[in-house]
Amino acid sequence: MSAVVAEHDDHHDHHDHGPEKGILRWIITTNHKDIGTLYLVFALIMFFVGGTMALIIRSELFEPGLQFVDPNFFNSMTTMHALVMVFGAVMPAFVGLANWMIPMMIGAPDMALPRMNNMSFWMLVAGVLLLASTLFMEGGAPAAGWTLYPPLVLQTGKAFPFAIFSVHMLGISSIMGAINVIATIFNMRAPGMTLMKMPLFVWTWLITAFLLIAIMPVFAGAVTMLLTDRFFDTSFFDAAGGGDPVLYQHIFWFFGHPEVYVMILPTFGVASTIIPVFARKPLFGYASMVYATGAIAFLSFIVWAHHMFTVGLPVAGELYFMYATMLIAIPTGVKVFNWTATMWKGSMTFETPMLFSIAFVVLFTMGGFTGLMMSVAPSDFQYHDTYFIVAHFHYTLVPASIFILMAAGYYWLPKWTGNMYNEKIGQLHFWLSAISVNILFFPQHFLGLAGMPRRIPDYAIQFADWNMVSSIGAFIYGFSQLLFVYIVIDTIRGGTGKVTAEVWEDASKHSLEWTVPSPAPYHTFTTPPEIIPTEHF
Amino acid sequence: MDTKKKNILTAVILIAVALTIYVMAVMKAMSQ
Repeated sequence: MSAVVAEHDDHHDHHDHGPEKGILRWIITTNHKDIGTLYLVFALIMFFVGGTMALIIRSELFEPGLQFVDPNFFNSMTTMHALVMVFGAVMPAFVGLANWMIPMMIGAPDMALPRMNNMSFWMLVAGVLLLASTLFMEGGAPAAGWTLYPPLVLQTGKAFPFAIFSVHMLGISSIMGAINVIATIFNMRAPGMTLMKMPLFVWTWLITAFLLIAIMPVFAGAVTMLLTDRFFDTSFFDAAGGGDPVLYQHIFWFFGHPEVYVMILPTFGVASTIIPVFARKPLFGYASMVYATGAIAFLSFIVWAHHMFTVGLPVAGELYFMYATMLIAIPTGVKVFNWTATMWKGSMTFETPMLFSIAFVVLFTMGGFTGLMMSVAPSDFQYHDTYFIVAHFHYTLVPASIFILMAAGYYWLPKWTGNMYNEKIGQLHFWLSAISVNILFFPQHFLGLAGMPRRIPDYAIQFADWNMVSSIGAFIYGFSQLLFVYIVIDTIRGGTGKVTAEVWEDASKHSLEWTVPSPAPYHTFTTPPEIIPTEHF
Repeated sequence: MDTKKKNILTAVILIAVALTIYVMAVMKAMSQ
């Protein structure tokens, strides 16, 4: 930290330099705020690309029979929707928030490795564009689901090696981003910013970054073996050659389950940052929040086979994975309790970021409860591969991760732009989203329990009514997100007026970013801050 | 050690960890 400041002191001409002019600024930038903006804009675009794919799926499922697309394209849509949303929207959005906020929250002048930061963003763009290009290749895009299970995925046409290569690029990009986060938090904190004074968002990202470094190489290894099975006559996952397709599932879910927490732990961090500000209270149980995040991360590595209860595991294995999975409810329950206790007897106000955060606490808990239901191995035989699973994980990802990303947008947009967003339209966006997301996903519980399988373009007539309701909810939810785009553009152009440095009442008591002017200057904390606020005062 | 060196060392260690995990995952699959 001190050395970086000293370096700036040695080069006085660097003190006030601003961004490059024109398009070049965005291509060669190494500034954490610019790169954060790039990530966030890219993620928002991909959110609409993935959302369009979701609406194609819901259009086809609006009524029984084949209406709009052929079955293979439908399967490509389910696969690409998931890959785009996970690797193109949710993960990059949280990396964008990390880039913007972590240096400002810990009093650092920038990310630790700025050039690598630039490279990880552009590798992400290349990876996602390569993945999207598979839609136009002979044989179509991968259609085996985001899990890329063999032997089905090995039937992919010309797109197969390109999809594998794009996964490698996305993995390398994620690992570089994670390395940057860890190096920044370990080495760049302002004097006095001890680990247990860091905002929860920084803590959750630190743990997420370690998860990424542990799991992305495993996924890369799994898809490399798919590649050699297809092109180099190996038989890792081919029973005819002595291999085992279930082995792929073990390797994939050793990556896949922690990957779910890569998307949810930063969500927890943002919620823990927003709720205390609008409850006007310190965060309840700060230390327990940190330990609970660590516990969830640890447990994520030892529960993977709960995704595979129906493959024929030994009973002892099913029992172990069942009980280990149930343990996750304990640290998660600690978090939900702490958010509720933070709000308890608080002087609460309900601006848009708080509304999205409260909806997150309620709706994520519902998604958590259905997860607990599925952890019961005998019951899971009924739920497996049905719409109940689709309902469960969408409750943990849409009204949780996506809602909190929206909350983060509303919360920090005034800091980023210096202008206040339109609160009325923000609240309209919230209520439309909160109502329609339940119309969209709640009926899918009924469909799943009644036995409707996932990843099918057609279904039996008894599933028609709830599918129609779900599709109507999907269109309302999808189109209401355009309000967010309008609000972002409107706020950048001036919004409803200028804001102060603190923006939200007493926010500077909670975290350092509210002590710098709004909009945040191009360079912040070139000299370390003297007062270190914390979320737990 | 100054911060720049610490940052690079942290990156090198984490890259080595990631590469080791990649190799171990494939080795484990080969031994099945």
